[in-house]
Amino acid sequence: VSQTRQRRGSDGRTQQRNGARTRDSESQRRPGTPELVSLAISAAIALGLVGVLVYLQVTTVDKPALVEAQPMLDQVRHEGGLYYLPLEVTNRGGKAGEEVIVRLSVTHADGAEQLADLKIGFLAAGQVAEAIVALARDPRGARVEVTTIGYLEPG
Amino acid sequence: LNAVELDAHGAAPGLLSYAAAAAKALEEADELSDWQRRLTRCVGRGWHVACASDGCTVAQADRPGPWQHELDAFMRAFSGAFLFGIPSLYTLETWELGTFTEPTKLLILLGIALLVSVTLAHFAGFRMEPPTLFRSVDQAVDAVAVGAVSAVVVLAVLSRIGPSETLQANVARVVIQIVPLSMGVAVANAVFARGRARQWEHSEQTGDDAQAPVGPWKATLGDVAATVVGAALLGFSIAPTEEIELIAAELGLANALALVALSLVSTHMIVFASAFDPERHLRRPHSVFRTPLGETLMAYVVSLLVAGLALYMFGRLDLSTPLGYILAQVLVLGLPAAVGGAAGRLVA
Repeated sequence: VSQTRQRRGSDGRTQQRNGARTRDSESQRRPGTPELVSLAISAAIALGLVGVLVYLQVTTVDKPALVEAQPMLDQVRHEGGLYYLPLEVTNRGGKAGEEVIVRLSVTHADGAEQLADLKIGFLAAGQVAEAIVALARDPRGARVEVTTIGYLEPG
Repeated sequence: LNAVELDAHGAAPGLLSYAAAAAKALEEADELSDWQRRLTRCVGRGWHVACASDGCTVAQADRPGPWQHELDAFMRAFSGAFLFGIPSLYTLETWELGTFTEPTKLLILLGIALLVSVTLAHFAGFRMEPPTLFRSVDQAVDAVAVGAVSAVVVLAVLSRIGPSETLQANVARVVIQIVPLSMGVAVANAVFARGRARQWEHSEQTGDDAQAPVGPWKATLGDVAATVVGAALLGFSIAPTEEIELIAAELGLANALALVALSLVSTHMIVFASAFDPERHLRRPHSVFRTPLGETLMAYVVSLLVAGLALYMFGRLDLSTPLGYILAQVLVLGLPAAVGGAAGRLVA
């Protein structure tokens, strides 16, 4: 093994290097500026999460799910011989609902009635879900009713 | 250069004992390559080693600055999070839990994640320095933050969180993922690091575990095989689940592009930027894909092929499946497969 870029120095230089080594060892034990900055950012993120969770806990209304559904008759589209009617399903309660079932009833002027049941897997508190029902006849001009059949309490 | 001379230059104790052993070995060695293999052990510990026909040179390498050092540490942290957390991020039940879990339970979950991370960080962690109480707590807080950021990025790319969801659902889905992700951060070194990881425990070891040099095609074949094994390990375990179809069905163009970018960035980070294995380029110096970018792209293509095969084998797609839906499913499964492939190359 022939050379290094550094040459052996005098005793003084050796001592200086030993001193540098000691400082290196100390710096390994003490957190540096980058470590402290990253810790501050991480702590801010973690505390932010805690803050949001506390806020949610304080503001959460302690009442069961309350599901409301609204037909969007102005957004009906006609394609392939079917009329697609969007429904807006909202949970206005304080807790989530699981397997929410909503029933749509369309009664036409001639007495003909169309029924459709919809199931929504999960509906969180405050969540708005959109569902689409395909109907054989145009629901505009007919009597449209949407009722909530029920849901499971999750957990 | 002998051990005494190295001492004068302020060499690390591990290098000194190594140099003493190597000097003895030089007298007995028949070939220079034997020396080369032994000296590569020095690299990655802050030393450059260059060998020529007339001998070897050992010189102090340019040490990364403190900010670069910190960035490397966080690359390892994110890599650990992805490697451990991908299966959980792809689980429908964890998204559903986020819909109805109460904030108090989520706070407890966050506390558990922090406590577990403190313990794990003390024994493994993602930093290369010896553990202290401060560093264990520091790494645990970092682990929780890295878990949160990783969860936000992946869930947003997969369209599991977003402005259409309520604040509670978004926060809950992220917090639920923090437990596995932060654990991945806290054990990153123990599972995946080699070379520099926990070197304070191995600095006095002088055993010869270096591998013989390999040819370019053999090295490439090894990389491909390791990618296939790693990608299959994660890909085949996730492919049968309905989550892939669910995510793929809702995948828009922007999300698909983000998914490709995330797959490439995360796998590149795991293998090359995390410094889990700084000696990797020495062990496989002549791969056909000479650049990290080339190897990352090759591994991603291989991972996508494995993902496609896994989906086909489990009947998730066939020739009648629309091409766009096939592509979406392959891209969705491509992320865990690519992460698995990267882990495979790392530990191979």
